Amino acid sequence: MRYAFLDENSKKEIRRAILKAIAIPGYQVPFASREMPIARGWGTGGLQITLSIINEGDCIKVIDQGCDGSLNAVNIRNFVVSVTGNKTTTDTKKATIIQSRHRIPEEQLEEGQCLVLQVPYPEVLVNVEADSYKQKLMHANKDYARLWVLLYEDTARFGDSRISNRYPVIVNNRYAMDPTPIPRYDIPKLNNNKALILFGAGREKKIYAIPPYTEVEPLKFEDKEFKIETFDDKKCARCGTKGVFMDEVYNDDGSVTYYCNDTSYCDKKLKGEL
Amino acid sequence: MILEVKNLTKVYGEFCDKCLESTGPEFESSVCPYCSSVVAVNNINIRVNKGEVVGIVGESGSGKSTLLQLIYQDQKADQGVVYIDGFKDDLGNYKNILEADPNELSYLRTKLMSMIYQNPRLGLNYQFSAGGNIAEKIIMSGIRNYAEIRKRVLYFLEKTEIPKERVDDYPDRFSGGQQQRIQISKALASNPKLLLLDEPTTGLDLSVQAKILDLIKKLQKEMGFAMIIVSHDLGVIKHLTNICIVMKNGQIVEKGLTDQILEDPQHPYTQLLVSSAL
Amino acid sequence: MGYVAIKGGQNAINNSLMFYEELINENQNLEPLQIENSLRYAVDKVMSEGSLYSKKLASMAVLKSGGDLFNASFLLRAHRSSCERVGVAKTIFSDDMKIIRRISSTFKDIKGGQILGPSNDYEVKLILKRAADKTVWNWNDYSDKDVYVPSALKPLRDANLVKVLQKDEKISDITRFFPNPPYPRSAVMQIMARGETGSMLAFAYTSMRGYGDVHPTIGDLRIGSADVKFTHPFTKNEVKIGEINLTACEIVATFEKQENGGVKLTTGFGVCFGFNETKAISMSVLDTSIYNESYTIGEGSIANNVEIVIHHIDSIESQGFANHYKLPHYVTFQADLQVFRNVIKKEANKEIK
Repeated sequence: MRYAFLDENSKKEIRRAILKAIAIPGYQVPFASREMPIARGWGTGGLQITLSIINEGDCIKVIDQGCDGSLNAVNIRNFVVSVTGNKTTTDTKKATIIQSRHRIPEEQLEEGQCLVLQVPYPEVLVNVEADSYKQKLMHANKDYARLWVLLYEDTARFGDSRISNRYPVIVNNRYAMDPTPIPRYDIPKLNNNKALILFGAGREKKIYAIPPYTEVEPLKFEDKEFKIETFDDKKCARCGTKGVFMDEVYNDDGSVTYYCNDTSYCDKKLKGEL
Repeated sequence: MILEVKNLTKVYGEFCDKCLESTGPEFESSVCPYCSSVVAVNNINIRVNKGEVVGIVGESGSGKSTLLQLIYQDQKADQGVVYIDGFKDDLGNYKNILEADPNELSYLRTKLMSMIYQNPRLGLNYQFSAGGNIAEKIIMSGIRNYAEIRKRVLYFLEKTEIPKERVDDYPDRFSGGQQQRIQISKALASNPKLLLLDEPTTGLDLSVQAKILDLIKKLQKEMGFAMIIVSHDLGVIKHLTNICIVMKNGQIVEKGLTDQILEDPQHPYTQLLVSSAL
Repeated sequence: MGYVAIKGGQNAINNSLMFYEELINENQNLEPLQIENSLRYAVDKVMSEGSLYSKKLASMAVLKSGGDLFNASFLLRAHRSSCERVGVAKTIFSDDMKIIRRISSTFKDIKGGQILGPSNDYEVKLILKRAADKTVWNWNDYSDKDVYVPSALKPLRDANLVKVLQKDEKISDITRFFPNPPYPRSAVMQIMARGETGSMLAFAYTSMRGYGDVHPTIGDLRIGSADVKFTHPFTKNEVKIGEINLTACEIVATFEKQENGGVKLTTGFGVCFGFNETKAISMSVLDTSIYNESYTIGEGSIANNVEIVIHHIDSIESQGFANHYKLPHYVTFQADLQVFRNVIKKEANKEIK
């Protein structure tokens, strides 16, 4: 099989789309998404990006819901290795490419690293306007009034936006963007990140990007706090850490236990490396 | 000047070169005998100055509503130029608002003009609450502070006498008259220089009509915006306006001070209108 | 061709059926049992849409229809009409299912665990590659105990966080009496339980893509079997008359303010005969859309409109009607032509003027 599965023309088209996306932070660039040997909705967009940018020297980490051992992550990692032969790691610091579904790792990313996020909904406006032509006009005119009104309505009724993951952000003070279903907890990590963050939506056929050191702010009222998820005083039952994003697990006896969601972070904490 | 309209024209259909000269009040027809096109608005010129309240009166089909829609750009004009105070190019010259791009149009319709429709369904978004509708205008004028937005929403609701407790209700839970008032709040929330009203009280109970007209009059005095109000009801025109324009078959037949026109109409059509008013 | 004799129609039909038989039976050496074993998802789809639980009959239908699953479901439905109703079985609760697979996307782990069971979810979609290497397996390493687990959403329901819909006073039976609008929920659920997978998927997809509430979370998806129990007409004892395969899916959508002021989580439920996860998921999305307030403010919702959903998901109806266009319509078309010709004449006369 060809290195990285895709033919060279496909890789070229995808790379060009990525370059355009980096040139216009937060703007969704359409691309001719190919069918991959995993189903649409399981990360084909992220996979196409990874396979287009990977070269022999890259070391890859794949996580899903923060976990390297999660089924989706295992599947994708196995597939990438089977078509590239590249090294893999669970260590966030050692990876050059990190493909992730729904989380940004707890450990800070560095220059030279690339985070590839899997995107179910590239269009941040999908909750307020379903017609794709009207969406395009809104982006072109920086007309995000509907997002703001939705925020106003939620704030008036519930005190805060009802949006939990996929919280809309404004990139480089221009485009409103869907950050993928990462929790609010991860939104601050997007701002001024040293790494390159790429977003791939296979089914919806869009690629977008946040270049390193870009300003990314959640869409919120000036006088309201951006509330992120907290787990109060809950400690990880495995490594004892507090204050990170946690998994709530129901045991067979009905009790509830909490664990660090980022498993490689938890491993390092346990070993005393952090 | 607040608004200047020159040669504004709208024709439905082929629009041959004989359309404009073969239709109008003297022909008693808006339909071109050569190509069957309907000349809805025929070469209209209007000027509105600061603080003026202009009424446009005429029968159904006279083109008065279409005229407003052309200015607000709900419909695209075939010919003509419209200038509005506050919309200039870098050199300080007035720009034709009819050639505004979508960005500019958004600015025009938020900061400079607002329209109030006869049917609140056209002016309100029924997927948002009453407060949400008003908030939309405020947000689009650039305010991003929730407390400030909420304060202004309640302020404008209060101004139009809608009970504050109902701020989060949806428009379809209000009466027709109340929906109209929410529309007025929304239109005024961005502090426009020019307010366009298309038959704002037609269809409402007389008592509700009277209240809304008084409200509009009061707000106009307080906030000082210019107004163009379209109505086929001379009573409304008399109550609110100081300048009156009479339209028939797409053209202006008479123009002048409202009092004078109503007391001493010159054109036979105006005379007919005035004499048939109850 | 001169005068076309509309006789010999019976001959034509016979010939057509013979050609059809030949087309699908060229290498006829398949037994229904082979279909039941190797094409089990086709058989399950047909049972569910044909609305008749019989693996044997469904396999025969798949074979007889040459793989046209619309036709196969039709065959089963038609057969159903010839069956006499003996009685009504006891209600089956999905919590009581003996499961072979149960997953929940809401929590990392739940009481009873995440049991992947048989699934092609993680199959790498390459035609020429085998899904798994069976030679490495040792059946003795696996337990043969029956597995029963409560719904993963039970903790949320027990904590009274979930919106509970009002029960229908009388449970509908759409096969005996088709209700008038407003349709009771039991009728809507019955229509969906026998609905065509692709149609339901399309409507549910509109909701997922933005013409609706967008993204639900699967609370509990399970496949397995349930006992069918029945009160014996003579002894009046409760007897088990069989076991059927079922797929059941509960999803959690969002939260909604209730009439009495409280805020509750909204959920949806989907269930069907056999193993068909796509259909159960789609059904639960449609259930949620129809019975709960939409949270998105975009316009043009499709899946929350019960009229749009229930009238267009029965393939026996829709496929039948779409194909009926093939019947002769030359009388109606002649009428159309006449009207058309009259208008042309009128236009021509106008121009002459």
